[in-house]
Amino acid sequence: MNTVNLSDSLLNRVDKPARYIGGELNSYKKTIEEETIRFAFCFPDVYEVGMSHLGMQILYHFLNRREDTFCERVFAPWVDMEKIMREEKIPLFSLESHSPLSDFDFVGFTLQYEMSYTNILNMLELGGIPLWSKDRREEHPFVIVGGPCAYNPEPLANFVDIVYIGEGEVSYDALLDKYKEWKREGGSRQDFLKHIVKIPGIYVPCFYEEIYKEDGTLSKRKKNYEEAPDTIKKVIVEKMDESFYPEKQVVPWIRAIHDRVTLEMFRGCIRGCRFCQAGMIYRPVRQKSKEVLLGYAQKLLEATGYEEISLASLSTSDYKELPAFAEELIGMCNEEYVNISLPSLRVDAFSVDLMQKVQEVRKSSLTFAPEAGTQKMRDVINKNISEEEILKGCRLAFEGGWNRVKLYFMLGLPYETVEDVQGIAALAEKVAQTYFGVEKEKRQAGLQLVVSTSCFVPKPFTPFQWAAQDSAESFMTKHNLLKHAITRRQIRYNHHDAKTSVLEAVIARGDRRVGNLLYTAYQKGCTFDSWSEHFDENKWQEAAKDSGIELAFYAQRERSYEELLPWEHIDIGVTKRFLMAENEKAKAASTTPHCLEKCSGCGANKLGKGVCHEG
Amino acid sequence: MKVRLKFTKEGPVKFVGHLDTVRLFQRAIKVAKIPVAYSQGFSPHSLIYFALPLAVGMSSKGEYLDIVLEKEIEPEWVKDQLNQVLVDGIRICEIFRAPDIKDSLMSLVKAADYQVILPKREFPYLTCEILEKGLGQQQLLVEKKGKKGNKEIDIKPLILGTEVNEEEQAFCLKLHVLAGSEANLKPELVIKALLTDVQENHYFEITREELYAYDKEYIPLDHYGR
Repeated sequence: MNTVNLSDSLLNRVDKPARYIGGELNSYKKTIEEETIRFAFCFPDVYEVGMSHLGMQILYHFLNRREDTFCERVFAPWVDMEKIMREEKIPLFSLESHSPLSDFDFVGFTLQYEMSYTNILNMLELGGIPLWSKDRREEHPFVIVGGPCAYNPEPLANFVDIVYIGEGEVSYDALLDKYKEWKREGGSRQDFLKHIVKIPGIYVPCFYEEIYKEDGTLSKRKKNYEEAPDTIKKVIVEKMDESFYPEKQVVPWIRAIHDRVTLEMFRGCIRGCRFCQAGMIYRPVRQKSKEVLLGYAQKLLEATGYEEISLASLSTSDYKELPAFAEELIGMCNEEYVNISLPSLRVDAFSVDLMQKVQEVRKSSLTFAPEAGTQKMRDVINKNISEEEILKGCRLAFEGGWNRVKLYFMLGLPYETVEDVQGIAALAEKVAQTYFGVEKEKRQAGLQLVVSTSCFVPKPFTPFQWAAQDSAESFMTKHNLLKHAITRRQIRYNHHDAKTSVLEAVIARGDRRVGNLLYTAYQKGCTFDSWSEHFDENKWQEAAKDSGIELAFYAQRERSYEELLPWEHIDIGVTKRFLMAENEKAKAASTTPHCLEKCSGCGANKLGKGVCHEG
Repeated sequence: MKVRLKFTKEGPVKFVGHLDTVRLFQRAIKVAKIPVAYSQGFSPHSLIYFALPLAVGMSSKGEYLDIVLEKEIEPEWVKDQLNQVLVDGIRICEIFRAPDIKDSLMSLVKAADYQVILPKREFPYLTCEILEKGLGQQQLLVEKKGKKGNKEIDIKPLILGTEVNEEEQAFCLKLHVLAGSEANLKPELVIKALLTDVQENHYFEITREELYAYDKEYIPLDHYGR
């Protein structure tokens, strides 16, 4: 077995060398035999970011539960390390056995955000793996991708061999079993790829081709292997209580962004906010029972020694048994001196009371996401919350002793007007007035209100998938408008970079041609594009010119319902008809009830699972 | 009760910094189900105390840690439990009941032993004589980075003893120096003083071998108060 020699003299020269050594508590050590299936789980960002990712923890332990498989972790080296690796010709390596990436059978990347794609290309190159899938030969690993951005896999289609659509627990066993069979029987790469097209959730891009019209839009998708399916249905776990969940987590050497036990409460979201991709692609809602959750909480705390546990879901407040579950969890955690972190809460009396219970002292800041400043806009996006509810929630929080509040909004949502942008400032002002409306004795002195705006990026599989994105100039005008509209000194305003958001929109709704843009940008030196200090707008503009990709065509063009979209061969359960209906309702600022109130017939019920089939 | 542990930190784990090592122990203690005592107050934390932070990249054969336990326990049991869950490279080699005195472990530390390995391939011109001659000077001046800019200091008074040996591949320098909160000498500074042209990319290896308390004489911490 080849291993990479990481000398002390090398590690002494890099920042945070513990990123590269492996061997953490609860990481796997396995003997590598000739027949071991070797899977490299790659996260296209640095160690501290990747180690915070729940999906990696689940799949790492899921794959390693198989005796015939050894799943190892690989992260993007930080730029200082990369420089040394290139100078000394050290290939990208895994943390567990320090093997070069090219020695693996599978190299899997999780696609969490579009701006990490150049890092994928960089990691392949550092690992000595040809970037284009067509250039890979029998000795090369199969490159497989999954995760939320894989629902539109086309920008990466020419770089990857296999795309996994859906939840990892469902089809990986079948895939690995097929691999073993193929290895035993011998055959070409093509043979293996042909063998797996029938596995649910598996998409092999090389068996399809995109044909374009003269106007640049997609004309059709041509199949060049008859057996390959016309549509690829996402796969989802049926019974969450019986599904695999790790009983331990790898505990990172250095402080990760989220360094704690993560307890996944449920998948999916009943809400149906029209901008939210996660709310659509993870449907239907499937919950774990409180007993199962408490059991995992206990085991995970025991196995990691963590001092914090975080509840993970898209909307914690919507967990059916939340009051009883929270009470028991608080009891368990108080005994063990463990803190509870509660992200994704709605602003209501119960939440404020709950947060009060878990944060006995030192109140951290409270985060609310009204997403839009006016009621009209909140109705457009189907964020079913009224101004009254927002202010009531804030009042409760202020009375409860919080004085630091963060408000999240989105700019550039469809049908937004100048009044709607100004509405953000107006709402922030009302929140501040609510604070001063609380009796002095009851509130904590010194209000700190942060208003934060992100730039709306239309995503595939949302009712806004046809929408035009604002131009960077328009975003910047709105930033300025808001900056001047917010005058109170207790309110601070910050916003995301518009230029990154434009590229995110290009890639998110890109077709295969966008792969050339990624490749060219990478060739020009773009990596770590999600790190603002590394993002180089000029290089991306040059890359767009060189690769003949018109950014506005992808980001700022409104699509018609008739247009064939690059991701329409992927079936997430939710139908195009439903998304169209939702988009029409958005135009009329009309709302849709959530799944528990009333089924709106999104189509996810045909997956036969979850909330759609509970009484 | 309070137990004092002596442990090693060798191999890749030496690249885990001090604060991360503290967290690593806090978690290992919980995983090993050691009944550690917690501080009172609003954000309780487990009561563990380290003797002297170890620099990132430095190995050690003699690190010390105190753990306050909430009840009486056989120290050997604590050691075995911890060794079962600790990561490769960190091993508890000794454990004993800490003498019940007010002094904190950190304030006990007065001196340390270091071994510095200077590979010949990194320092091709080096000889034992150069090292010995340097160490034999009346003063050993070195520029030290301070808050108010650099200043030259004499580190000779901080050195208690030295030994130089030549091996096949390297020179080995043993240093017995003052350490702790009152006076502390980093071994890198000695190298910098001796080899004025040493640069950032010159690689040498440092191992901390032992920590000492003082009571009429320097006593290794694992012999102190036992």
